[in-house]
Amino acid sequence: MEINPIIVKELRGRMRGARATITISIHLIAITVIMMLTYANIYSSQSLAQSGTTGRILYYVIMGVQLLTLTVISVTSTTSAISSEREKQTYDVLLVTLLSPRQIILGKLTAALAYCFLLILVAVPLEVLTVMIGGVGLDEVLVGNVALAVMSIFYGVIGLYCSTVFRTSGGANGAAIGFVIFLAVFWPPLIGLFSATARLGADSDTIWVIAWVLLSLSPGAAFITSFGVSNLGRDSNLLIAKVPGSRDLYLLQPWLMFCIIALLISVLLLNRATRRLYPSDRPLSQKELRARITEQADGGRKIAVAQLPASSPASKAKQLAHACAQESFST
Amino acid sequence: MSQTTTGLVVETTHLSKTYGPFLAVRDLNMNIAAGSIYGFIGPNGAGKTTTMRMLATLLRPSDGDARVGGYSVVSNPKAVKRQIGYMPDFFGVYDNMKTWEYLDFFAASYKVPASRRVGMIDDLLNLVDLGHKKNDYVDALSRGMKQRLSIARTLVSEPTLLILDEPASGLDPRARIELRELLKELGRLGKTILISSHILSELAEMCTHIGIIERGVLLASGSVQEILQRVQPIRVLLLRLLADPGTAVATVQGVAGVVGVDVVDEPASPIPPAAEGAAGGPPLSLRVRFDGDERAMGLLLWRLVQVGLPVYSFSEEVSNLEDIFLQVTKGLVD
Repeated sequence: MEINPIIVKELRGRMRGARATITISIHLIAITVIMMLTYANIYSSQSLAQSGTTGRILYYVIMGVQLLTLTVISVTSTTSAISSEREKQTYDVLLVTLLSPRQIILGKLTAALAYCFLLILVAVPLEVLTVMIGGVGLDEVLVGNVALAVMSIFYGVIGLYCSTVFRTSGGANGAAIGFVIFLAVFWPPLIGLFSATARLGADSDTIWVIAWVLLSLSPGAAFITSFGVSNLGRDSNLLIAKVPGSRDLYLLQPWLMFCIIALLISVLLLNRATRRLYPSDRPLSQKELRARITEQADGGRKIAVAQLPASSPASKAKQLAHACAQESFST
Repeated sequence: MSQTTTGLVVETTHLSKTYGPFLAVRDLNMNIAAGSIYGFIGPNGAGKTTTMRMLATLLRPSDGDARVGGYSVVSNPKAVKRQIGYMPDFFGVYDNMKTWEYLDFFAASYKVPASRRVGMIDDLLNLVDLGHKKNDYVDALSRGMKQRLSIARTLVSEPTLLILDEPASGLDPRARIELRELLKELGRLGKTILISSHILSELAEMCTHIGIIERGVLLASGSVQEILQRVQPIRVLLLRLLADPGTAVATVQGVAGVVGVDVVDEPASPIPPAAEGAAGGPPLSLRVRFDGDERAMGLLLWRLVQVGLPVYSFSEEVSNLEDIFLQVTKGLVD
């Protein structure tokens, strides 16, 4: 089986030249420098250095930098995926090829995500270093990277969807980045406000569940809550958390909930993006075909369409499609 | 593989496209025979590009249907895509892509096996005279080269029909000539080509058939000769002979098929003094409106020679595409 040509083309364009290497280098240097500064700070504070949490703090720092970098890169790497084809006027020639809209969409997304995953991968040695320093487990490193990967997919799909909606890359960029900023900065306080207000006169467990799920939509808030809650006691682990303040309420950890919700939304948006890409390629539905045939018959044109059987509804669409393909007109 | 049994590569039946209240293409019935080079002529906004985009499955018709290679653009767009090579009116460029990579990408997109692609790309680049640019970046090519590369791209799927929308727009004269020669070569190779332009001289030399469209309506369609005969049933013959006007006009008017004769005032013709006066009379130019075929034209010439009038030039005034276009669209073009 041959690789999707879109992936080959996109990766050629993305990885050729110095830009990709420079970005990865800057990404790694930034993480390393921030890590070293944090390490120096920790050792200047006696109490922190002796608390045995050096590795954990360093791990949080790495994840924080990764979160910021990947938020920007994942969303911006797809916002021009389709709109740039329109801007460069290569859209039409792409659409007349035998590539399906799904192949085009998935090819664009895969190439963008391959680059994001590379950024996640290159930081893994630094994360493993924090495990060796102590205070953080390998399972947490794994969870952190899975969550980052899912976040990249989620933001990548949002960027891609905006790219199919907006005609220009500028518009798609603005909309996608605006949405991501809203999710990262404004969403958690809104949910906090909602839960604080709602808990005044309602069943607090129900409000907790709603707030927990809504908060999980914001990856930053979900990660912080997950790592915080998982360290609160023996009742919580990396997958399940006892909701703080509740009597006996256990829920999926916010990072896991985020992953599930984000992947579901991503599938839905991908589907929408595919449909938006090329409406003309979609075969006519049974209803549309029937309407077309009726309209043409009403127009006084002779159509060689045989009487279609009223029964066998399952095969009707196929028969109609075949009839439409075989129809002949005469004036 | 093409499904057509009629020898027609394109058949449109009542093809229409509306954008809200605006009717871009109206009830278009057009046939293009296999192997022909069909010039699609019309002013800007006439509906050429809309029609071509419907044939290329990029737009769904609002009404009617079109068949390309026997497949309906409405019900079987995927099969139509296999039949066509489409070149839009603007050449888009991918950054960071070499010439061979550009063709390789499109060949892969048309599911050409990797084993066949290498040889095919070399052949296509040679055909469009870009073999020496194989490893150059596409965005570094000149506009003319990009157009030729774009034509090579349309050929990667070995299509039945090439749809070329304004391929020569923006090209310099040399690039235009090169493009024209390339299209003629493709015509000789048996490709069916649908080419649009509003620059008629571009099409005049290469088209076997033309369709004239204006305001979404196909005003005329057929071979150049057919349309010429339809729009100009009366031929115009230009005669130069040595005779006095009275004798010459009387003789010509006596021949069957002659509708009218005008004496043309022309600058002195370069007739050798020895010939002048040796027979007939002074040099004379006549413009004869003639309703007859080639045989009747021969009889006219024979009659003139028979009565002893020395004819030193006998030709038909050939109308070009511009004349046809002006005749067909008379009163409609703004």
